[in-house]
Amino acid sequence: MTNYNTTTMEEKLYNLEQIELMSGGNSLFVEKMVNLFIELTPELMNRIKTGLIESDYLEIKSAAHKMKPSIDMMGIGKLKNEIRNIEKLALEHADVMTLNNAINYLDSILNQVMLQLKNRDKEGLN
Amino acid sequence: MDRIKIFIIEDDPFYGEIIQYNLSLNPELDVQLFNTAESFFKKLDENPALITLDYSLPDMTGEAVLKRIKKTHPDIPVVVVSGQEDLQTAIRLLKDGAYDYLTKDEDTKERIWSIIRNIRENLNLREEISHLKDQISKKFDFSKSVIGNSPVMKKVYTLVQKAVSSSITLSINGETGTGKEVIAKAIHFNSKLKNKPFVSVNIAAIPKDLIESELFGHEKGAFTGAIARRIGKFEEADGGTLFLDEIGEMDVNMQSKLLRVLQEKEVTRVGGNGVIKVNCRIIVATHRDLADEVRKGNFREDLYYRLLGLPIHLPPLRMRGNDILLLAKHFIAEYCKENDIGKLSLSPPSQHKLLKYEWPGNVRELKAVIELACVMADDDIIEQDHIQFSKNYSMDNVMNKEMSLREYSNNIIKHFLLKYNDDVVMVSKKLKIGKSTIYRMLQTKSI
Repeated sequence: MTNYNTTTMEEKLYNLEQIELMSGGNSLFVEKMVNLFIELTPELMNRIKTGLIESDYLEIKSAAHKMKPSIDMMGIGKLKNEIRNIEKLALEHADVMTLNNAINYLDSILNQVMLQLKNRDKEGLN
Repeated sequence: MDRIKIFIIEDDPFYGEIIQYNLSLNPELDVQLFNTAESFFKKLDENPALITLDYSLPDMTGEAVLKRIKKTHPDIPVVVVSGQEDLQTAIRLLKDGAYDYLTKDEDTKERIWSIIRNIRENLNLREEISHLKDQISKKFDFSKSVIGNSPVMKKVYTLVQKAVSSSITLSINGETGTGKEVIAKAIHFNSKLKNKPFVSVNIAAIPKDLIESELFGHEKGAFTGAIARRIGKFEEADGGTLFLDEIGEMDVNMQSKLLRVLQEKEVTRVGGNGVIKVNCRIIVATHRDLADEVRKGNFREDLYYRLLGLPIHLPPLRMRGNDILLLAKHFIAEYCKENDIGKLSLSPPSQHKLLKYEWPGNVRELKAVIELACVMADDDIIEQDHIQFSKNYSMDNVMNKEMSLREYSNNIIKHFLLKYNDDVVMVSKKLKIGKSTIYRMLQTKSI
């Protein structure tokens, strides 16, 4: 059972080590990937939310499946298992309440991550 | 070496971008990213060395893409990359010809790198093999491997040209040292089979009890000493040429087994039950007159006709006139090149000496004599003294000496024994004298 505890704004929710490693030390490329994540994630999140409203489990599963690699690469530890859980719940046509809770948690964490990413230069975060 | 071309088919822009960038860090790789199957298929004819394929694409399933690639480009390795572990799908894709199945996680990059390393090694090996094949092909180029323009050799060339352009079975006949294997290789490496294996087996050099296992292979434990499964020469030569040298020496029992294999085009390994289909061109060679061996009951008539195919008779060197000098000059040039020394040439008396000799060991003997002469030569001319025959049985020399009739007889018998590899039975028949006479002379050391 997932513990949907909220997080404090101070807690850093992402880890760019993996992308930095794959970039071969190219900070411009890391920046490009961060921006790509910020650009692509809302669209996938919308697909999941629309899928929930329309009870379109296939759409939820497909969008969650697509979101998985970027969550892993961005080192968002809190969502590593959660995104897989949503994919599984959608596959199993789980009850709406369970799925709703999981999706809300995903949305909330992703919003915080994107906020942190956008503010990372200002706050001196990496 | 050219850069290794890698195609990534990935509709997730984030994942595709990161993998493409990471692989492109290696300057040896040319990495191209495609986000749809359709855009990828437009470029497939560029023959990438590796394709990584996302299992879930918007316009086609991974399975359908894999099948289409395998249909037209079966040799290109395709690694399927999926967002989830699914053992059943993985097994199905591997059966359909996928090189590997990877799940998208933090280890994917390392696993792709490892696959690329393997592919690079394979490409290097392929390049090396292709280079070696090319070298062998050049080595057995007719103009380099088969020397001579005597009328008897011109007849041989006509037959060889026919042999090159067809896949008919060939039977090459000629005295020891006339170059039967050289001709067989020249035919193979100038034919359409030149990129396939050429496997040579000398029947006379393999003990009778082992020949079946050598030709057809054996299973582990088939006999004492069979510690592992071993494929036979027929399987080794599959798709290429199997050269059976000294076929006339094959045991009659083995001849019937060979006949069955040639008829059925399948072998069964010794100690095994499975039937293995084989398809190779057969070239046989012998110094014997096989038709004569059939008449004597030493060779099966049905196998003889099965193997006869296109018969090519290689004339003995003594019948090739000026070819002796052409070959001698060729061997001198070869020796000088291999030993990195200046040019050597033959003096007129040495040429005369070479032309007068009978050459019982044929081209093989000539090569040995010339190599020794090259070593013995003091400057850039090979004089007649540098040309030394292993046993001075030249008939010309024999006749120039004043000897008794007994001595002449002894020398004639010596000459024939050398010519027929000390085959007393053969020499007694050729000279129409008793075998016991020859054995007696050998015992008394009069010859």
